[in-house]
Amino acid sequence: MAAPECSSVEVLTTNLNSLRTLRSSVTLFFKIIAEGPKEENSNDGEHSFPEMAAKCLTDVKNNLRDLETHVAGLTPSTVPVSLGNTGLLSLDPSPDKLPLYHQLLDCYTYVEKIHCYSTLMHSLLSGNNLKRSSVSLPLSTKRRRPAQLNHSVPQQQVDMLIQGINQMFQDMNLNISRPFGNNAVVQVTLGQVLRAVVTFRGILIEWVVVRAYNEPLVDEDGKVDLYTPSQYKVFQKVTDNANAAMLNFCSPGFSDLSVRSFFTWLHSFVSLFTDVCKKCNYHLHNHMPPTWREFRTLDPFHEECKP
Amino acid sequence: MGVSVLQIFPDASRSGCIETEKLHKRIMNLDAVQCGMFTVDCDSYYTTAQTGGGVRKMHIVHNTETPATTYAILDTGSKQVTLSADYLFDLMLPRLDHMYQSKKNLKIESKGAKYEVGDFVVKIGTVTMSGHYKGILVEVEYLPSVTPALCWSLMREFMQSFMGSCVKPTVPPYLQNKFHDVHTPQDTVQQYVEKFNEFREGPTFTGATPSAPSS
Repeated sequence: MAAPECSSVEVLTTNLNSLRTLRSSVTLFFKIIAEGPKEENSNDGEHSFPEMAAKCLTDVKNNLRDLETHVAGLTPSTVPVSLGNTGLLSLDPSPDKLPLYHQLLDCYTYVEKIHCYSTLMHSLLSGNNLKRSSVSLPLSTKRRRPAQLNHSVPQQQVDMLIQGINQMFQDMNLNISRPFGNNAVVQVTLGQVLRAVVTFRGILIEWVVVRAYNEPLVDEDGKVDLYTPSQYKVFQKVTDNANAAMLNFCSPGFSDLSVRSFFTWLHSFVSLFTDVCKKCNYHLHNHMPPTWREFRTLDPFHEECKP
Repeated sequence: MGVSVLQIFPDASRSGCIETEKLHKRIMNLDAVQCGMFTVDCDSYYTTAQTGGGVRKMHIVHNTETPATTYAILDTGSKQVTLSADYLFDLMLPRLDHMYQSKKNLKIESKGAKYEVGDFVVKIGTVTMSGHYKGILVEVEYLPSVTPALCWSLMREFMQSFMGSCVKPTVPPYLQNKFHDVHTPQDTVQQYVEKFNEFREGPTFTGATPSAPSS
């Protein structure tokens, strides 16, 4: 196996060498042509210029013949060469016809900056909130990027976090899937009360939809339905409140804690239909059960009875 | 499909329309939206003498909420078996007449208006048996929930808000038996059969005089 390979490599090398000789002789010919006849020693230059050109041309001719004979001895490669992803480079659309790539890049940079700044701000503000005027962090700390950004964490870390939350509550079942590549989508089934779809971006919660237990989690195509709101007013309200809670719990510094507190809050809806409002002691107000849960105490309140 | 509860509304005046008007007015005060009509009808068939054994009943029920389905409920006295079949099941019944024969004068139906109040659906039906007025039957359905155990006390509060004290604080026996199960359309139909049997057998106008709603 090794011998023919070795010989073919040798043949290829000699071919390349003859090609190089051909090119250098062609270059030499053009150089002579470009310089033209030399004027200072015109008496022998007149003779030598056409002679030299003709000599160069015969060199070129000889070298070309050599190359042709060498190339004829080459065998074309039978194994197709795999180019991998670089093969797709030829398919790349020209950016001036399609501005999508640059827009995406801008958007990505913008979001990256926002996350970066919010993390820095969070550490600054939580550091010393009493001494507001004298925030004196060294310049190098400000400039340094945080080691890990919340929206680009490894999949295993998110998986472990969700697994941990899944084991915290017996009656809440979390099912993780990744229909869009890296970012996780968690399908939550809470007792026989509700189902929710929580979309992650990295370790940040991006979007929450809450639906009734008897409403489907997947659309007609069998994919996870991320957007369709519930047809029931109760769960539309709970969806709004869940998104508010998601924003409330979000803290760039302790992102896994914020996810955990969000799911603890969501779990308190297991008694959505059975709890009475803490303030008015009734189940119904405006034909709605208490759809609001206090963030710290998880006490149930009606939308109108909120403290 | 949510959880349905049926409630007989006592009608002391025995006229029907006065009490349904009153209920209509009360429910409209709760920001209800009227959305069409509904009918639930029930035919009863009895086994003929030559089949032997005890006399068994079969109720054939249609509900306009599930218009493509015919429910056949086999009533042996102690146990009820429900069959949900296609609408064409009706055409098969005349072929069974050597076993089951219909009692024409027992045909009973509940008919009336349907309202939507938030996530609740309320159906106020007037019950008539072969043309004679028998009473008022109110169906309340809570759509977002699936098991009676979760939402019974919430539904009781809602029913008491427009029907007053005729709503008992205890869970109806039928729901009590299926308190933790997922509610199905068959459960609704079986409750209708239960209430229709009460209308047929017992004194028609049960309960005390209707009292004012608590809220």
